[in-house]
Amino acid sequence: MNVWFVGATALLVGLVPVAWVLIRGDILEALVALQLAGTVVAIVLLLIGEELRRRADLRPLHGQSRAVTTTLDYALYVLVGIGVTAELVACVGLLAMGRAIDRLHYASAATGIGPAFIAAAVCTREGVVSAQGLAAILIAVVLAVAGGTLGLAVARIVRLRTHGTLEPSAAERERGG
Amino acid sequence: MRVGSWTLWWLVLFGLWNLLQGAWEAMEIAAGAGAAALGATFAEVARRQGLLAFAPQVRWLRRTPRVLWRVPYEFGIVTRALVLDLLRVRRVRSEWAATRLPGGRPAPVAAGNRAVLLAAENMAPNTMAVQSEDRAEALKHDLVPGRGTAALPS
Repeated sequence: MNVWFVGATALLVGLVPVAWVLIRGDILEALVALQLAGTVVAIVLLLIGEELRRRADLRPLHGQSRAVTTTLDYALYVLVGIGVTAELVACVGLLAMGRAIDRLHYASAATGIGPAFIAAAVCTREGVVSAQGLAAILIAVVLAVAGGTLGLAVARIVRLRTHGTLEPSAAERERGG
Repeated sequence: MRVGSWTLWWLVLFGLWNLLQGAWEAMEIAAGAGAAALGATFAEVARRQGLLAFAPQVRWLRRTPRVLWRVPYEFGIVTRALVLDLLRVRRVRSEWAATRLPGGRPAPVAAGNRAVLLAAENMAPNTMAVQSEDRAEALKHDLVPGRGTAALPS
């Protein structure tokens, strides 16, 4: 049992409320849940990939059975812990909010902080200039940029379905100053 | 179909493929070359349909680094709102508001600038923004109103 495996397992549990919204919510809520599920699954795969690499690196040591926790391990615990917690906050937020547009804020929240910290953890272990480090950074950047763009498209659909127009009302113009 | 544009797309997509899969093997390279060719062809078809008429100005791209600190800041805002909502201390009262959406001229520049602003704004989780019907305004939805914006004029 290690931090990568624990993180992936926690996120798979976090997918339960997302699946609940996906199945029980209306079409807009299901769309938002699908967006969040895509992000969480990408992070799970990143964590599992790192765990499998870690296992491949392990070699039996004769006469030394006690595991030693290093400063690097503690750094990884913190980075993966923050990243996974951020994703779980998004999953809980998706379940707790009542409207599709409010849920969308939490789907969007999952694409920034979580992937960045997981990528930082991978880079800490593998090095920034490594295939795994560069791929993790690229995944975090793609998730952030694609999350913003996808959020824009979904917000547009939600607005059109709930208000019927993209034209601001007088009250909305007044609020915006 | 413009050969230069297609080649540039192919090089970028092929580079991304190799960066992501991380193994320098003949089979992977062949698959990447094929996938990049397919992607480059789709991109060229989209460009010919006028769907890629975006030319954001560099000075507008300079506004986006602000997003780097707005993302954790706004993540804190939405997390706090969630905790207070779950504890029934304060319910979430989100709202839509309209704000002007600067763009510039000509049309591809305006479209590019607005796309940059809106994509950057939507990376920070407290505000989701879309373009209005006439494209002169942005409709922004704040989960917690009054906390500023990442890229749009606030």
